Formats: sequence, C-alpha cells, structure tokens
Amino acid sequence: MVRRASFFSREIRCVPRTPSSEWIRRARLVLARALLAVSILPLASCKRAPTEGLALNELSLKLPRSVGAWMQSGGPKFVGPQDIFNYMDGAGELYLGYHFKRLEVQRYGSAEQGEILVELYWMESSDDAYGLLSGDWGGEAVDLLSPRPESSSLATTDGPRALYGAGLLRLWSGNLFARIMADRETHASKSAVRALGRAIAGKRSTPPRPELIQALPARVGSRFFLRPDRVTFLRSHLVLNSVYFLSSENLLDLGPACEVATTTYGQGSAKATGNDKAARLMLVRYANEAAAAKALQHFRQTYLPDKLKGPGASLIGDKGVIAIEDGWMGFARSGRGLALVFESPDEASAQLFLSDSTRILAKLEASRE
Amino acid sequence: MSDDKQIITRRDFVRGTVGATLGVAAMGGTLGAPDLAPVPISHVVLVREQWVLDEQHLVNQGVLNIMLRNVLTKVTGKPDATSAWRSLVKIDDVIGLVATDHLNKTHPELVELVRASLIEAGVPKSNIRDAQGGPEKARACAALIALPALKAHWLTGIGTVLKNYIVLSGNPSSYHGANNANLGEIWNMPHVKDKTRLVLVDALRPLCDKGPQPDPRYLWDYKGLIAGTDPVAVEAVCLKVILQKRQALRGEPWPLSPPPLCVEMADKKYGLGTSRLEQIQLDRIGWSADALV
Repeated sequence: MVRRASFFSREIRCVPRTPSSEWIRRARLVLARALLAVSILPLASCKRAPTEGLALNELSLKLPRSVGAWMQSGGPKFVGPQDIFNYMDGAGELYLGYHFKRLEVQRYGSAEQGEILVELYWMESSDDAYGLLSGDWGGEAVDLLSPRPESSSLATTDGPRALYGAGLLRLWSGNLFARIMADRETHASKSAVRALGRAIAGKRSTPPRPELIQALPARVGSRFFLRPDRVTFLRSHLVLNSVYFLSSENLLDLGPACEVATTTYGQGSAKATGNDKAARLMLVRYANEAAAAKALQHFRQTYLPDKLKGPGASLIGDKGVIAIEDGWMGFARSGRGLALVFESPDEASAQLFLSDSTRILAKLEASRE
Repeated sequence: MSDDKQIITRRDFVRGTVGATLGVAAMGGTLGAPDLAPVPISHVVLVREQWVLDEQHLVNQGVLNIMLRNVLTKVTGKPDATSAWRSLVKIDDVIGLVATDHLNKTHPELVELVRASLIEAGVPKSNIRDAQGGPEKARACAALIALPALKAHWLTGIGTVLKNYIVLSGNPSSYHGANNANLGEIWNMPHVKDKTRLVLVDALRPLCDKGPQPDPRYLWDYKGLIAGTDPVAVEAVCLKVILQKRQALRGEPWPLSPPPLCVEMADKKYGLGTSRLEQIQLDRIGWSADALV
C-alpha cells in the first residue's frame, strides 16, 4: 500500500487544485496503468474490516472473477473452526494452534492450464497470521505491495511478507494468512498467482511483526547471530514440536494465551557450519506470572527430573543452567516471561543468552506498564 | 486407545533411549549390511523407472504396470504376477485396498492397476473393495493391501504406512498429538490384525516436508514403488528416503520434527516388524539415479 500510494502521489503532486481536462487525462492514465499492472479484470477491492459482521456465506474480500486465463469456478467455500477437520483431514491443529476465525476458499479454473486454489485464513490478530507464515521461510520472497512486484530480499528488516515457490504463494497481510496455489507451475500461472496475491494484500495495512519476535536479539555476545530463516512465532506445543521437538507432552503449558518467539543462533556468521554448533532460544510470554511459574515448574519436573535431585542440584529457583546430553540448557523467568536456551556450547554462553533474554522480557513488561 | 502414557522428550532421543533405530540409524545406518549385523530378517523391494512420470508428473500406466509386476514377483519370489498374488491372498478372499485419500494421495492409476492385477489373478471383481474408512470396512475384509503414498507429516513425522490405517481405528483423533506414537496399535486391533498381505507404497512423487497441506516445493519425482510384507521395515526404508531427500535439499541434516516415534514403537511395543535398517534387506530394481537408499 505504501509503495502504491507513492506511485500515485508522484503523478498527482504536479496537478493544479482545480481538476482540468489535462488532470483528468492523467488520472485516467494512472488508473489504466494500475489496471495493467495488476492484470486483473475487474480490479479487486478489499474491505477494511474483514470478517467482522459478515454472514457465513459472504466473502471478506472481493476477489477478481478472472485472472489471466483463469476464471472463478464455483462459488466460495467457507470453513469455520468447527469444520476445519472436515476440510483438511488431520491438519486443522495447525490453524487451531493459532487464533483461527474462518477460512474462505475460492477456486479458479482454466481448461488448458489447470486450477488455482485460493485459501484465505482469517485470524484474530496479525501475530497469528505472521505465525502461520513463519513456519517456513523457504521460497522466493515477493513484494506484493509494489505495483510491479518483483522478488525482494530476505534480508529486509522485517523479513518477507510473501513467499513463492513451485506454484504456491504464501502471504501474511494483517490478520490474514493466505495460500494461493496453482496445480501446474507455468510462467502464466506464476503471474496469475502473484496477481491474486496483489489483489488480496496490495491494499491492506502492514502491521509490524509480533512484539516478541521484534525483541529477539540480532546477536548474542560476539559469537551468536540470529538466523532469520529459523524465526518462528507460535502458541501451541504441536507447532513448537514441528519446528523444534521438545517432548510428546506439552511441557511448557503452551496454549492460545501464550506467545512464543523462537529461533536458532549460529556461531560466527549468519549460518552455523561445521562444528560451530547452533543454539536454540525461546522467549515465552504467558497470560500472567502465576502461569509462567507453573509452566516452569512443569518443565523442570518433566524435562530435568534427574537434575533436580542430589547434592549438586541447583535448579529449584527461577533461573538455572545445566549441562545435558546435547549441550548446555538454561531457563530464566522474569515476571510472566520465560526464556529457555537449548544446545548452548558452554555454560557461559547459556548464561549470556539468559541474561540478554531476561533483560528483554523485563523491558517489554516495563513498556506495557 | 492404549492408556499407558509414556512421555518422550528430546533428551530421550539424544541419549538413544528412543530413536536408536531411527534418530541415528535412519540418517547414517546401512541397509542390510550383513558384515556388520545379523542376517537381515525383513525383505523390502524398491522398484524405480525413469519414464513412469512425464514432465507434467502424469503417470505412464504401461511403465507402472511393469513396475507393479516387478514388485510382486520380487516380494514373493514367484515368476509372475498371478502366482505372486495367489501366494499372498486366496482368490475367494474379500480383499480391501487401503489407499491414502488425502494430503499426498495415492495415485488412482496405481490403485486401479492393483485391482486389475488381482482380477487377472482370479479374484472376483466383486470381492475387491475400497477399505479406506471406518473399522467396518476392514472388518468386512479377509485380506488388506496397504497402498499408502510416501509423505512426511507435520503431526507424526512420517505419515505413510502406519498412519495409513488411522481411520480404520474408528477414532483417528485419539492418535493425534502425543498419542501418535501408538499408531501401531491399530494394526493389532482384531478387525485389522494379520490381514495385511502386502504393503505397497506409492513413492512416485513423495512429499518430504510436513504439510499439513501439500507444499509443491517439497514434492519430487522419485518414480518408485516400495513394498514388502513387513510394514515397519517398509516404513523404515520410506523414512530413510525422506530424511535423505531433506538433507539433500538443505545441504545439512534436516531431521523430521516431530520425530517419527510411531515407527520404533511399532517395532518395540507392538511387534509389527523391524525398524532396524541393518535387519532389512533392500532389493533395488530399475532406475538408480538419486535413489537415496
């Protein structure tokens, strides 16, 4: 939206206050360019408050009837939280692991070029939609806000908001996560998929990444560097296990009221190699301090039962560091926040991760008060 | 659903308490290495043909038919498909075909070729049924042919052989989450136990990452069929293919998360077969490029 606004403003800045025939001609030209740029007839329009007050059979976005060689085939399909398991057998847990509100599905068909499937997952918050995209940062980053979207760099400050690969475009746009998938990847289907992505996301606002994700330190000490392609936001232990298996049980008492930011930190460069073992950091924020304390107790008792006994046991407080099978792990609670580090190569590094993390968690809480 | 609850943590894997056969061996283990291990006890067949899929990933049925015949004769040691089927099933059996109907689906061409091949072997058409669904479908069958498609799964690590029977349990949701390790239990339920005559995995175009919905970046043309009569051994070979493909994609180890607990449990807890690669003899036929195992 920002880039498109500037595209328009460049054209409009030089027009006189009273519209003249020249102004009208130029405005028409701008409109025609925009129509060409998105290659869609009719031009998609978006409502500002998606899903609020909608009937179950009403689409939140007005999707184009056609795009390139593809035409809408059949009406939209709507899936609520109760029905998601019928729509995707065995997969509903992912979406229910965030705050899922409803799914809207529209198919496009082309006799010669197969089908394009559009799935719009409306979530309660932008954080939830970001979380769904953050499960996999693979693919080619795409800037859908530009009038002529080209691939963009993964290294942008906020990371990409849309990723394309092999016919599938995934995007995060406010409280919307969308998947747009062509069953056959061709040059034409790639253009059509991207055009649909622009129609969906191009006019919507771009909220920031989740607060906890933004708070992850870019580096820890002088050795550890955040790997942006491993950053994930989540709330559910099933999702946690899909990025970093901790236990078959929900040891950290994760759930809808929690926020988790997790990533790996490589040593010496943005990507760990060879013997430079990567460490895993998790920042968890619970609904309240009591929930955080209870979760820590649950974690200690189940994950570290052998370390709680014996003369050297020192893991009974809110902070602890211990050597286990895959390196040094540590935990530290700060109010309703909990930091955990896994696979740290040494004790000092684990302590460093925890001290940085507790400072970050405390600062976040202070900023809220 | 089994009531006994075992909490498995990451530490169990690192220690080797769990996953000794999979967490380590599936990455670095050697299939059927008779010099290092006891005589292989399970036999798995991998058949691949380069021309079974075209550039659009469409199936060449003639080539697939040859692959099916090779699988059947190699698994059974019989000279032709008819005698192979007759060694696996009785011709008056009611036979249920259990294909995968979601995520990365079993190619319908494979299901139909199996059906046609059974009919050619003398099984009446009316005795061949689609048995994917509730427990009553399996109950009505004397023999089952498992026809899953090779894929990773975001809840169970791998979602191929053992998970293919989840709906036959009558209570599939009870095997999600922490309970997915118990998927092998379904194979011992009275209406399923000892009925599976052949496990034939559609590895034509597998999915090597978790889903939950198919992401085409993780589909690839492997162009294979993987088969045997030991479901756990077949699953272990499938797992090795998936893990090797993931490592090849990323250029570094990319373990499945969550780990496929169900495979080792099917071996150690439910006694369905072996998950130890060194106890599996893999016979390879056909195209060998990028075989991964």
